[in-house]
Amino acid sequence: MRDVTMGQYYPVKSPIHRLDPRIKLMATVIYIVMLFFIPTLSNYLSRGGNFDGYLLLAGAGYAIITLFLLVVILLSRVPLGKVLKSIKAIIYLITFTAVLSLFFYGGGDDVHLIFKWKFLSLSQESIVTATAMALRLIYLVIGPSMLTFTTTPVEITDALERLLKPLTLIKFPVHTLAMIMSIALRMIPSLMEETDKIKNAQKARCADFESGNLIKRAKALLPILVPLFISAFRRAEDLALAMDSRCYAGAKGRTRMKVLKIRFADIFGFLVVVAVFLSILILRYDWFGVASQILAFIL
Amino acid sequence: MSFIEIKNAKYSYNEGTASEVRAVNDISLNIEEGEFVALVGHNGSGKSTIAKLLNGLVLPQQGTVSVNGMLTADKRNLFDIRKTLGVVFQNPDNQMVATIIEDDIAFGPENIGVLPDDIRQRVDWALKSVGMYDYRGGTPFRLSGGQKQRVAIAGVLALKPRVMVLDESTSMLDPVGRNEVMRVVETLNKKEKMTVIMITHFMEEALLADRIVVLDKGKILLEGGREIFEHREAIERAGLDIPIVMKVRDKLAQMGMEISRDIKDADALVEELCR
Amino acid sequence: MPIVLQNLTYIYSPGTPFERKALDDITFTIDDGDFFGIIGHTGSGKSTLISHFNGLTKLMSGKLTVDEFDLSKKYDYKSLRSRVGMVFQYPEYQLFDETVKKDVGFGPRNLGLADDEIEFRVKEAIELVGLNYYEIAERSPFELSGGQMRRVALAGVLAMKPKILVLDEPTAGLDPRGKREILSLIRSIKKECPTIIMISHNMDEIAENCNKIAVLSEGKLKGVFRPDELFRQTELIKSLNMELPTVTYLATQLNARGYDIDKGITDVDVLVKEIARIKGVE
Repeated sequence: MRDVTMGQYYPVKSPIHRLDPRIKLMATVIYIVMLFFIPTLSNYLSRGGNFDGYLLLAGAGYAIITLFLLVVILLSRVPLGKVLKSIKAIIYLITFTAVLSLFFYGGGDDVHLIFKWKFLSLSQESIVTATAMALRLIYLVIGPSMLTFTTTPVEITDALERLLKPLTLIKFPVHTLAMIMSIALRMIPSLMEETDKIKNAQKARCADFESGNLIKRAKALLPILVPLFISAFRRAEDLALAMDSRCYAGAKGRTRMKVLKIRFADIFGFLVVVAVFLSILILRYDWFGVASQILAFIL
Repeated sequence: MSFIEIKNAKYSYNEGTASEVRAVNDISLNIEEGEFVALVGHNGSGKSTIAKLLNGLVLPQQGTVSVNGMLTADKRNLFDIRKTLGVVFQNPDNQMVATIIEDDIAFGPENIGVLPDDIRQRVDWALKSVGMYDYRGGTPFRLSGGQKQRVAIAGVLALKPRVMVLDESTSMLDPVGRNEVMRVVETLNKKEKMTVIMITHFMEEALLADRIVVLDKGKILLEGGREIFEHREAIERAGLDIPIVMKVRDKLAQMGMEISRDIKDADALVEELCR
Repeated sequence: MPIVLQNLTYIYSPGTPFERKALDDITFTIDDGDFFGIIGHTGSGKSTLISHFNGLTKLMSGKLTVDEFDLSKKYDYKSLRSRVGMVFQYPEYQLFDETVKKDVGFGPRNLGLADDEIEFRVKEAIELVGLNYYEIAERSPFELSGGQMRRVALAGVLAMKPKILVLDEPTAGLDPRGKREILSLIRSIKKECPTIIMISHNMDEIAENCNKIAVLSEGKLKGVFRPDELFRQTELIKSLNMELPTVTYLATQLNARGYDIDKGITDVDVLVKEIARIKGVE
């Protein structure tokens, strides 16, 4: 049975792996946000932009993000093949959405029409829209994947706990939640193993989990779920006794063995992400007239 | 005053109801520092309840329990009691809190506010003491039962207790695992002078102890060194076995052979016979 | 009709970097009426082996016949699983139904039997494991003691009326009295279910009950022996780091020290007599 607790983690030493998980977590959030600052074509046009302006914005924007991603992937020493595999799960979604936008441009007049057949229309607009949409989806998956490739679930849980610490001021149970997540991660492989055992025991009594309609199959799960739940409760009770015995008393007075320290590399990495974000914003809102100048220059 | 004192303790589950079970029915027991005591009894004899009474997980309904002069009934003592007396439980799977072994060993010291560098030292020491140092960066998932229990022992050791209670910690292990755990426990008692209270139904393990306490239906039936195995009927009525080594020894003694009673395992008997 | 294995091999994750041979070219026979023991360290392949017997693990390579079922061909899995009853470790953890009666009836229900037949089998099975039907039938299995729960789980398998019973560590976690009772129960069940296969780590139990013992090590079969034969295989035992039954260990050690005593003794009284003899005691 696969060791689920390591998830997608790719165990290798790299500058990205070594980065403080809090930085990586925050960077991932900023990354996702910045992807949405590159709008869709129809959105851009409806706010008074023009087609060429959009080409510049989207083109340059995605180019910068692509460069950023490539650098991260290279530094992380995770094989490109593995990274691309993470898209495998949503490849159908991407293809479906792209093809749909390719032939159904819904943003008003498609000025640069290529051909039209009944209700299907292919145009420069639709091509651009489809491409941008596909890229956004792909990058939305790759970004967080890089996080999980280079950061263990334990580190992520830890980082979350420390980042959310300020919330304890409003009595939000940050530590308790983090402990719950950490214990859940610990117990998942054990519970999965137990599910297998229970399933086998019931199969040995001729239980049938395969045939029948949905309702029948749902009912057939009872002989697995009931023992599993009971087992989970039993484990919880055992674990609570063990934790009490080891002086667990919640967050009060608790120290940590693994201290997260921000190093120069972390600050540098974070600034890079911020810089990328800022450049997207500059292009988007035409700060300092940069975008218009470049546009004028090209045209 | 003994290091651990149980005075006339009584504890029942479902007290006052029709299904009341008198788990501990007026037990008094004193344990000194450095002792290796085995508490044996059949399932339901009250032995596991005693483990929980010792570190205050459960309070006696009558009588008292104290560790190093501290009463378990006083809430303010619980922290210190649990730092002094650690408990390793029965199920190897259900004592670990963290995904990574060294993080789990750190759990105890983290709870009592030890400084990060000191925690690291304790973790390394504890893991080395149980022979699991090489596994520190891994997960518990692929470990054997014996290895998991050793990790559990290390997790308790990291609190630097003076007493270690093992509540049926070998019941769910195969013979190899049981051996691993018993070797660690013996070393802790002999080398680190740790007080060990071994709760078990394996008589072979009880033989290793300095003092054996036999429990039956919540009361102490017999107490003493290996000579208690003389009382064969009493032990068998209590649902326990006489260790085979003892059976052989006793039968030979009955036949008139001069043979010591102080035999702790099969090898010791062989030595004795070869003298 | 027996269980016949020929060149049975099983490989986990074949063709991947995680490929592992769990069973390697196993050949032996279990005859009708055997009380067959299987011993070996954790990881030796015991569990994988027995899960072939009731088809839980699909035969990958080699031949396996169980009674008239040829597991390399198509067969009715329900018939096989009611012929070969399997009780896993800590079987009480699989109890799930509202009453003991319903839980024990799970197997017969899955076989599609008539209601009155199910009722009859449930009652029979519960009595067979030494429990009082009228006391226990309507109770929730979860309010029973550990020992009782294990018996209920056993009854659940016996209600399928198997002719071959496979038990994986039936005494695991039980105290000495519990162990004795379960083993005595299993021996009494042998009248109803003639062939019993037992995996155990406890050599005393194996020596006491089995007429044949298969020794597995790292997926390979080291041999099938009678108990007294097995314990005389000094080299094999040493190479496998095996535990001997205490009585046999004492005999072997004394023999190694030069005393004229049979290494393969398994009975306490025989051992005592022999020691008395060699020490010249009356």
